[in-house]
Amino acid sequence: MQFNLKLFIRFFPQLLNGYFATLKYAGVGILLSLLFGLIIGVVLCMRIPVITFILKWYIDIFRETPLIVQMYLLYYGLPYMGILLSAPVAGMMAIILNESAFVAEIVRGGIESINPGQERAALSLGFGRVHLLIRILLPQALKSIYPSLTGQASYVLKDTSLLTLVTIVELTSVSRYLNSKYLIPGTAFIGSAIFYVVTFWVIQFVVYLLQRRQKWN
Amino acid sequence: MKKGFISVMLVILLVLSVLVGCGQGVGSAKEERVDTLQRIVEDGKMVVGVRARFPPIGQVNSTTGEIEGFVIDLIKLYAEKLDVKMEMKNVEWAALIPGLLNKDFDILACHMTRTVPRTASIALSDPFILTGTVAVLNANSRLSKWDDLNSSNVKIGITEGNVYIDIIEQRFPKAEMLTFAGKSEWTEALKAGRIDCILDGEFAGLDMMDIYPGSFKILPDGYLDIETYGFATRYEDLAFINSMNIFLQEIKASGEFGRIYEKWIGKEWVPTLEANAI
Repeated sequence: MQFNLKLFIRFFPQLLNGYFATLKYAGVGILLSLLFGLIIGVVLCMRIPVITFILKWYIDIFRETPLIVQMYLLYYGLPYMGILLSAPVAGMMAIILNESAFVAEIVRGGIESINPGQERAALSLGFGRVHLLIRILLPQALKSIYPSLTGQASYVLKDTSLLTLVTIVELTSVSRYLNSKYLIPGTAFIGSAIFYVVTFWVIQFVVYLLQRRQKWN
Repeated sequence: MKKGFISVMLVILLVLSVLVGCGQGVGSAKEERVDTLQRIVEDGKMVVGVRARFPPIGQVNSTTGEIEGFVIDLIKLYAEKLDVKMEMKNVEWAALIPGLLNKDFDILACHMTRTVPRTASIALSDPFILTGTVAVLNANSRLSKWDDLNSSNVKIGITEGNVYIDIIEQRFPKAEMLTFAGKSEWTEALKAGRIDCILDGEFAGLDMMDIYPGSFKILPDGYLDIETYGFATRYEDLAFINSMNIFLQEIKASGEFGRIYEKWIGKEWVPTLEANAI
């Protein structure tokens, strides 16, 4: 298996096009999974009886089944129930539902790990539970969980490579196309790996900058 | 954080440059070139890569579980004539050519369409069967001619890495092309109406119609293109490919080919000039 630089340069425009699609899906995926995960995590901490039960069920199912199975069920399985979702909707729903479950657990863990003394103090001072959660506990929790959330961002980025299985054209599907047409696995897949790694470095760098800004505050 | 960052970047750049260096070296395998056919005769054994999910060319008998089919009978006959034992490995389509190049198999005996681009990677024998490209549609589809496919309303499905990708881009540029991982995926997609048609060889089309009887039909406008299937070997194995060609000529002349053809394809074999008298 060899990486052929000349071929990589020749196919760079196609890989770049695929990469833009990947960025689009990853961007939406990261934003929405962080948002939903955050909301679900906070709601879990409110400990409302029925809702907590339903959410925990959702989290278990979506964390314990493979993403590829979830995508296939949404794209190929739902039509048998009369629901025909388009490929991007089905694919992104699978990714967002899947990763939100993980984010929710991370958020919940972060909040619950904060010294319960704070909770008692705040409640005794008359703070409402929701106010407590959102204005006091959550900001502190975010400081400790952001490395895990950066990890989540990289997971979503890698998850987008599975979208090729539901007919969406992104970076990995371009690699697979180049490989099956020209039989150049080394160039095609190392080529796409380069894009993924560089993107991850950028994500890490952005998080690093945000962190520094926070420290100055 | 910055130090770790930079050193990780340096390591990755180093790995990449080593790989690039290897790529420009004088061939990564400094093995001795052993002629495959000679080795087969010496060892008395031949390893054949098959894809037994394409009736009637290659299939798995549902009762006995044995691999059987048109090309299977042909390759068995070849092994008999060469007086060697044969081992068959039934693998995924995508694993066939890589497996051949990797020397997991000596030869491929499957529905390998003979195309010019493929000859840049593998050697192909003379045709062992003549067939053609068809379009499979939903039974209630209103598409009736090949030209109907060239419209922006039409979604054509194909398997990844299929030979038809280029054909679709050239002949039906206005249509939207969707790539699927495999036959079962696009069968489901066609049934659900996600795509309007799929392009594949005639036998694949007929097989799909058997899977969901009544759901599908074939575009009633003849073959888009004529296709021929051939045996495939690594392209340095010219002696082996030559051997397969002589074998095919011999059995076509002797009548053995006609018998096997009628057994599996269900009609009498009539040689034509269109594809090297197959």
